[in-house]
Order: sequence, then structure tokens, then C-alpha cells
Amino acid sequence: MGPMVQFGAPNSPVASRFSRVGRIVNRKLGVTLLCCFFLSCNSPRTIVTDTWHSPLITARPLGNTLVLAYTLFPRPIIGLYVEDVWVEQLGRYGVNALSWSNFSVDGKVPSMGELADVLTEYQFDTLLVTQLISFKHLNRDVSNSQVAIVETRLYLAPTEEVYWSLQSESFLANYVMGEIRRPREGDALEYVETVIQEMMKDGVF
Amino acid sequence: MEIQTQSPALPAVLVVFIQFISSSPANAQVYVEADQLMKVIEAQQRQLEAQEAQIQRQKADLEALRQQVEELRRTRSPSPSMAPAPTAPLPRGNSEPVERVELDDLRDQIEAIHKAIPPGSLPPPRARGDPTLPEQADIEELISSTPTDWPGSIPVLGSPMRVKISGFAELDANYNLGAITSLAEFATSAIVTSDRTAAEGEDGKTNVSAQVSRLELKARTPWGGRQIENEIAMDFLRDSSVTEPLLRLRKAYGQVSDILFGGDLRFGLDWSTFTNLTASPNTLDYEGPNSLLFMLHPIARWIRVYHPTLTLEVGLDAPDQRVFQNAKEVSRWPDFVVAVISQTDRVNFQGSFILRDLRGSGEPQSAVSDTGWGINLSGVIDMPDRLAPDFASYSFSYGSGYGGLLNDAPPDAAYDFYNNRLEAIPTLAWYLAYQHWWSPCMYTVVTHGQVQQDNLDFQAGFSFRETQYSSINLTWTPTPHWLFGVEALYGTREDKDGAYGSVWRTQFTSRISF
Repeated sequence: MGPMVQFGAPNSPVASRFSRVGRIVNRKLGVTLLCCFFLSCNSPRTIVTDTWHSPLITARPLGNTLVLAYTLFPRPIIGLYVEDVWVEQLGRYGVNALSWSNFSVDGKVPSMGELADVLTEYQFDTLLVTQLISFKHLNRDVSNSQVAIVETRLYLAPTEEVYWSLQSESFLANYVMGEIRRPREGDALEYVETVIQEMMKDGVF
Repeated sequence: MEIQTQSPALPAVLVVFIQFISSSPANAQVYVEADQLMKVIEAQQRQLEAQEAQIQRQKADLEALRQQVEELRRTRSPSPSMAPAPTAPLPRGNSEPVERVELDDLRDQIEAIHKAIPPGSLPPPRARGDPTLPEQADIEELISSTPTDWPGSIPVLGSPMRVKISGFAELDANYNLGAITSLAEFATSAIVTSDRTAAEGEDGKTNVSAQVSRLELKARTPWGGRQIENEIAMDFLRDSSVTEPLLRLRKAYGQVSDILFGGDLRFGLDWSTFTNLTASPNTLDYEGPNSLLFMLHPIARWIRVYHPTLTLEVGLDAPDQRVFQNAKEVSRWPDFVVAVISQTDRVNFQGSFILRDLRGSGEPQSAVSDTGWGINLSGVIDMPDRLAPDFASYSFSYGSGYGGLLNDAPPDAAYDFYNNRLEAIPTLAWYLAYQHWWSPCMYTVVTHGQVQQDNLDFQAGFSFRETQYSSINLTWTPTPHWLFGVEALYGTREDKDGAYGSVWRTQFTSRISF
């Protein structure tokens, strides 16, 4: 006696074909809904995770500002790019800012002595340092990361004393095989704008 | 105004005046009074002289003091090079003297601020001068110590070598609704299609495991302009059908850079050259899509970067872990693999080809073989404009006799008893994944994959025919080192004879890395 085929039984050809059509329809509907959902969501590109403000130094303006940005590599292209974005955005708010690349000849990360000389000679009031701290490790097997942990610090120019700092998480373009890629233009602008807004809140802008 | 006490005119005038008065015989009383007046005047004169002497002595003392002060100034005056550095500016006007009361107030305020900080909270990043912390190095030290192309590594004293220890502790808890024999991983080929039992999870089963936790040790040593790189990695996933942790060697390789025709050489246990790890989606499920090429082998690989956007890899993979139906593996030649990798600003692409000598022992005992081959196109595409930074991962594989390299590991070949031959099985595998970022600390990955085999006539009815894998997750990374999330997975398996099974799985994952 052969096996009895029952309509609706999981192993029956009829049920299998029926359920397959249903799965295809459901899958297309699901994919469409998901695409619409993702398209409608606009995620922030930078989030602030921690801020610190010296209790000994009250609100003060930036004044003339020297901007230094560097990453885990000694002065890669990403640092110069971020410095330029900083200077441009600060200029829009009327802050007189210059990037360290204007004074650097070798493109390396400067020592404090070199920084101090420039700060004194050109009478800067503030040193703004943006530093890439680390990456978020998301995949178990790939060091690739799209999220950078960035720290932004403000120093008093005469004493090199930190009086304000902020940690944030920002998007980078994908990178592979150890090569760090720069943030996209929109992401860099949003990062700088987010930090400026936080500075304003804390009265250090 | 200075009084001229030494002028001789005043006493002379007084004497003449008195003599004139006393020459008058009519007033004898006047003589007496004049005599007394003279005595007073003489007394005053002496007093004035004494005062004058005292003033002179005081002037002399003052001059002496002035000279002493000048000498002290000359002896304590510093040289310009030894001038003390200007002190750090105080938070208020530092030119005014600060009253003790005000200082006490400031101390009280600082104390109140310290008390307001929650215990265990992080110190201000890179802040200097916090008395509760070890003195932070100044910015010069900080900057000079930070730049490295290998963050997290530490130098080995007395050696140019740097080492890095990393890994993670991961807890996976999943609940299955359906029979599946793979507990730690969602291997859709392990879905039971017939005679499902409660022991296999048909009525629901929860599994909790930490098997995928991992320990990695890497080392880099410069060697005459080249670099030697080593990696040893271990986890506890020797058997994914149980939840007990069993130690497994994952990776053990060494690599020398720029050693042959301008390329690097790698020897040891590592991913197959056929694999494109960059294209593996971020599923919480450890295995990932069923169609992912994910095989660890002993390998020998030559890697040459011709351009930052173009890399060529040629490798020999060990002929192990073959999956034969009704035959035992009797390998002869290693697998030959060639892969071309292109990485541009928005697109990662790898095209790879594998050639395999499939050799087994059937019944009667004789070695039989067939040639297997496979081609894989895979990569990552970063989404443009408004959809950035989302990205899509994809993989498309086709070939005959390469199925065992896939996550689901369907048979590479099947043995035909009647004709005493081993025949490679054609296999098609693909997946598509999309990662959407809700914010830099939260994302969702949607994945769908399929593996399909074109069954041979002589294969048994229970043979693998098709599996499907679908997943969606929500993952949160509150800190760079902590990831956790939930994932819903759905998988199906269909056999050659039409037997069908499906499983729903929900998974919670916490991964803390170091």
C-alpha cells in the first residue's frame, strides 16, 4: 500500500506547491515593506556618547583656534580632510580658525613643543584636537568597521590644559584590509555640526 | 618743611631784646622773668639739637638699609634662562589676591562636584590634573604614543615584535520551534525533514551556549624591510550539535610579506582562498547564510596587491573535509584557487574560481574520482546618497562538486554503486543581505539565502535538495566592546523526495569583546 497523500500535509506535493506560492508572495510583500521602511528612516550620522567640562573654567569663547585632527595612522589623508571641514564650519560661525596642516611641513603628528610654538607665535587662544580613538568591531571575522569612536578636545592655548572634551560615534565609509577610509562629506559635516552644537550648549563656543 | 635749627640769628635777636629790656631800671621783675625765659630757650635749644642728632642717625640707618636691599636684589636676581614658567591661569582674575574665605568656597564647590559624579563613572576623557587619577601624560606623550597602524598592539621588550591579544566572550540563547540538530548554529541543512521528534526540538527547545567565544593571538615582526605575521585563534565549537564547549583550533598561520614575485606568502590554517569574508553579513547567528562559503583549511596562499583597488590571490587548499555520499574521502591533490579582489570607494568585489580533485573510495574498495569546480562572485555595495551608510552584501556561487565548502555543506559528490563512479553534484548558492543603520550604535540586518542542488538520479530520496535561510535582527552596540541583540531566523529544507521541514528560531546574543 502506497503512502496516502493528504491535502495540507506538510510533505504532500500539493501542500508544498501551495505553500511555496504563498511564501513567494509573502516574501515579495515583505521585501517591499522593508525597503519602504528603510527609505523612510533617516538615521543620525553622529551621536554624542560622553561630554566633559572642566568645573574650574566657566564659559569662554573659542577665540583664535588652531585645529588638529589625527587618526591611528600618523597624519593620513583623513586627518587633513577633517581639519578642512572643521575650519570651514568654524568660519561660518565667525570663528577665526586655522588647520595644523597650514603649519606642518612633514605631515606627521606634531609634538606638543611644535604645537606650543605655533600657538604662542600666532597668538591662538584655543587648540581644538579631533582624534580617532577606535573602531566598533561588529563582525566576528572581519576587522572592517563603519563606526569610528572620535574624541574632540579643547585646550587653553597658553597652558595646553584640557577644559572641554566630547566623545562621539560617527560613520565612516567601509574599508577593508586595514585601510582606513575617510568619512563621507555629509557625515563629516554632520559630525562637526553636532560637536559645535554641543559646544554651544556647554558655553565653550 | 624743614626747620633750620642751627641758624645763629634767632638766639642773637633774643639776647639783644632781653638786654634792651633789662637796661630799664624801672622793671626789676622783668629781669627775673627774662632769666627764666633764657633758661627755657636754652633747654629748647638743647632739645632741638638732640632731635637733630637723632634725625641724622635715622638717616644713616635708612641709607644702610637701602644699601642692604640693593645688595639683596643684586644677589637674588635670576638669569633670563632660569626664569620660572608662568603659572597656569587661575579660573578667576589671578592678579587680585584671593581671600582665604574664597579659596575655601572654591574647595567646597570642587568637593560638591566630585560628590555629584556617580561612583564608577568614567573619568573625563584625556583630562589632566584630576587628583583622583594617576597623572595623565601631557599631550605630547599622548600624541607620540598614539599613532600606530595596529591599534591595541603592545611591543615585546627586547624585540621588534608587537603582539595583540583579542577575542570575545559570547553568549547565545536560542529557542527553536521545529526540529533541527544544529544547536549552536542555524545550519538549515540540519533541519529534520521526516520522523521529527521532541528530542530534536519539534515541540520547542531552548539552547544556551558560549561555544563561539574566541581567543586570538596575533604577532607582527619586522624582518629586513618585510613583515612576518602570525595568528593563532581558538574557539569552543568543535561540535555544533551539542552545547558543550569543546576547544577547537580555528586559525594557525604565518605570513611573510613581499617574499615571492612581489607578493606575500601565507601558510597554515586559515579561511579558504575561495571565501570572501568581507561579504559575510552581520547576522547574530554564528553560521550566517546557508550559501556563505565559510571553510577553514590548511592553506598555502600567495597574495599580491597590484593596486590599492586590485589584489590577486592564488592558493592551494588542503583536500580535506570533503562531503561524499556513500564514499570515503581519499584525497590526492589539493584544491587550486585563484581569486581577484577589487575594492573601490563604494564597491567590494571578489571573483574566485576553484578546481578540485574529488577522490573517494566506494564499494568495492577502489579509488574513484571526479573533477569538481566552482565559481563565486561576491562583495559589498555601499548604498548611495540618502541610503548611506547602509550596504548590501551578496554572493552568487555555481559549480559542480564544491557544495561542501558552503555553510550548509551539501555533498560535493555521490558514489554510484552500479557504475562504480564518483560524480560531482551541480550546486547553485546565493544570498543577499542588507544592513540598515538606525544610528551609529544600532543596526538591522536582513538576510536571505538559498542553496540548491541538482540531484543525481542514483541519489537516495533523503538526499539534500534545497535549503533556504532568512533572518532579521536588531543589534545594539552601546559601547565599542559590547554588542547585543535579538534575531529571528527561519529556515527550510527540502529533500530529493520532497520531504520538507522548517524551523523558526529566535536568538539573543551578547558579545563582549576585548
